[in-house]
Amino acid sequence: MKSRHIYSVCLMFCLVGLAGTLRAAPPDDQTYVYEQKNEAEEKRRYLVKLNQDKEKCDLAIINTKTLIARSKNRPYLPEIYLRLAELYIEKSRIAYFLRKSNQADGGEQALDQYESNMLKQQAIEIYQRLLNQYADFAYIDKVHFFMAHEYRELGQIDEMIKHYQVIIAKYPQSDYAPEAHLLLGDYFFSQKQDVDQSTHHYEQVLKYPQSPATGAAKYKLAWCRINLVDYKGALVLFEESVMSPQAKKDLNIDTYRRVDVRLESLVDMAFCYPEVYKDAKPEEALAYFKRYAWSRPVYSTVLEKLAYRYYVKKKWAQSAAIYRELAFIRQEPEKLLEFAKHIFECVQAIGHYQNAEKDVAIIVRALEKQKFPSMWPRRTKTS
Amino acid sequence: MTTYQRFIMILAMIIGVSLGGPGWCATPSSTTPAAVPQTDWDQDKPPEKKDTQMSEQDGRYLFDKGYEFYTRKKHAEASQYLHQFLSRHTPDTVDYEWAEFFFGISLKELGYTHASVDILSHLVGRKPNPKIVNYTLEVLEQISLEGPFDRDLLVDRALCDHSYGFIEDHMSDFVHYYHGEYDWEHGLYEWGDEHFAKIQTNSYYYQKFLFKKALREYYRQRNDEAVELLKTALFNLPDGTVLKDDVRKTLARIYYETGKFEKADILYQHIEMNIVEQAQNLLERAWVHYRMGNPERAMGLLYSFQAPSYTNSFTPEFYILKSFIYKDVCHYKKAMQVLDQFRERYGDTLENIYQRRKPQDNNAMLLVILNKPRIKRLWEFLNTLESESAKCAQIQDPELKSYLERLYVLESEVSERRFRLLVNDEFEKMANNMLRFEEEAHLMEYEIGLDMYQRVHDFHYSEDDAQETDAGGTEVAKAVYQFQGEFWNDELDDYEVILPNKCQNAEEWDIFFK
Repeated sequence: MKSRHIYSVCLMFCLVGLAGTLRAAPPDDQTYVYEQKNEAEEKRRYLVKLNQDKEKCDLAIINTKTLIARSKNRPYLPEIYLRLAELYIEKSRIAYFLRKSNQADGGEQALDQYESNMLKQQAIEIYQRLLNQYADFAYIDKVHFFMAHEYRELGQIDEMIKHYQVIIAKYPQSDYAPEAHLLLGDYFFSQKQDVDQSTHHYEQVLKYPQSPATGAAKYKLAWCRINLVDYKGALVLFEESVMSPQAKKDLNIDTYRRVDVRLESLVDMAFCYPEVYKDAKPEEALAYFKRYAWSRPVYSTVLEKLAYRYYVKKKWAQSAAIYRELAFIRQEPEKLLEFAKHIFECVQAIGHYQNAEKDVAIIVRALEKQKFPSMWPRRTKTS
Repeated sequence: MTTYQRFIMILAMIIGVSLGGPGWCATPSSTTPAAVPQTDWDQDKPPEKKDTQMSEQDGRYLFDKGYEFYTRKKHAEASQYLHQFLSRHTPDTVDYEWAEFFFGISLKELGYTHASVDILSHLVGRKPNPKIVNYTLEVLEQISLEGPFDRDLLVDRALCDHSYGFIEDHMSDFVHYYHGEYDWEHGLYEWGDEHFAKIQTNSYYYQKFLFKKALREYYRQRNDEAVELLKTALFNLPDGTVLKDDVRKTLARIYYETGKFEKADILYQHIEMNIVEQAQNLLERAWVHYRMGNPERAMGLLYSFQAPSYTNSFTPEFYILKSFIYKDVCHYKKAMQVLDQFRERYGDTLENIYQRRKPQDNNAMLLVILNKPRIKRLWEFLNTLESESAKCAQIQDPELKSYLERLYVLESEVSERRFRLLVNDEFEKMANNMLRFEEEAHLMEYEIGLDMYQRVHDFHYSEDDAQETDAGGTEVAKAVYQFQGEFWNDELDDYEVILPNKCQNAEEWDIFFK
């Protein structure tokens, strides 16, 4: 018994020792295995998966319909209808991709969308039935929102607007209300070029500070301000968009999450900054963007925009100073050459050479790093 | 090659004069170093090239053969086929990136680490696919841990100029560490902190970060924080790593500065690096003992500098400390002799500085400069380039040979230029230091003179009986092995010199004052 105890103590020490050991680099004899890329095989697998998904969807639709038939007058019946509509939407998506994948050239034809649209129509019918028969349904705002979305997909914009407006008018406290405003704002901005209307809707979104849509709304509102030549207002909104707290995650909407609103806002700040702070010194501009950026790559991205903006506006001193900062923090040979070229042009335009030593060092460094093409000319063709 | 020969080569490089021997990192010499493994280059030669543009089928054949040899660990053959594949296709060809990857590994396995870094760092920057990126980062990490490498290519360009999102945890530590370090070096501390915060605490890079952070705290004059960080790293790091030695050395230096000499001494003793490479540590330990009031031990440590291994490790500080010790125990004659030795060794150096001559005329200073960490790193990298460049002579495939030779010649030229600039910068600093040491030597001479007169005064007017005592003040009975004139590496840090305190004794020259 005692020896077993000693044994377990030893084992424990060994385990502790192992846990405490620093993880080292992978062993030297590790072999790396080639992974063949077979596009035809990948496509085949993708099609098989789509077909399997479609079958699952069909089965789910049948089962849901059976469930509906068995659930007459049950309180949860509207939820099952909602689920059925969602299944049709899912099937519509799969049908679209299946149709598209089966095209030899991967192109799109009018008929591709026929089956998909039919399924969307079926979903809309179910949504409509929910609206007609279950007006007190707890998720009726969601039904309106999804319906509007499908109408938009089908190109029935008037219907879309009608449903978004219902949400805004009848369910102002819904999570979907700011989304509806945002989408209406987009519609007026991009399709109607009606800046006033879009501004109105984006401003309404701001009344829902907890909504994840506020960041995007501020960003879009800033662009409305730019259209009205109000750069100062735009810059403030971009700043707020960058500093917006992280979005809530419980809303299943993909309208604005495809883009990094925060990054877009920061980059577009570079557009407004020279207009708002016309006499800002380069150091002030650098400090300003350092304050709003959240990493070096982001900082260098926005500085590139800013430097070029100054360059276009012929503010040579500012442009040169920012290109110098970029040359300090970046290492990519092509970029360094580009920065060096711009610095040279700016300095030429300014006409004095106070920073000649530093600028020549940047140019030399940029040229020094251009050693690759001579080694392997072919490799530079597309890279 | 001896250190002196290497040193002459540096001079040749700086002066830009050919010495008639093998070129400095230029075309490989005809002699193959003994250490270079012989490879069977002639076997399985790739097919003769009819045209520079090959059909897709031929191209595929080259890749397949190259990969087949790679899997059989026949890297010499693999590199030939893969090089042919790469030089006859463009990056939009299927599996071009895989070919680059396996070509890079084959070169590494053949001992061409720089060529491997060159290929792989360009590959990873293009982010071909997550698998290749992860694999490539692993190989680059191995190279970074194994020996000298081109930091500009591997760290600055391959790692820090790109963001890597989807990489495995271990690679993530490697990438975040260097991103953090790069941000700190460019004054972007907050973003650097964010990168460091993402490193897993059980990783090697976390300890590396602690070391880095401790240095930063030290420069901000926050010694306590620095000590705590270094102690943590010391506890976590496995024995036998260079980093652990660096941590010990830094901690010892801070202890020295804060007057904790015993702790400093223990840490210096724990340094595991080969004793032959520890000249600087021995000198620092001698200072520790001197400050502890243990001049005999300090002198013993300085004595080891006479060992042939340390011939080129002298620094002006060595002479200053030695004269301090002699002066403290009233060995004025010897103290003066040490100062004479200082002038003898650095007289020409000082004269060159006064005459504003070029660095290459200052051999003694160049030897000291070579020990500066940044220069030493680049020097080691140049040595690597030289040895790898020499291996190119073995390659049978003329295209691959030409490609590698050009790559090494170009990199050698760039690194030599960088080296030259660094040496010139460091030379300026060293020249100022040397003038300061000369001033200190003058001051020491003056103090010795002052002490001598003071002692004579005390000796003649003091009522106490003069007794010759040990520098330590106490006599301890112990076995002593007399020095036989031979230096053994395991004894280098163990010498003790008997230095009787002569402050109470009259010397010959005292008679002059009688």
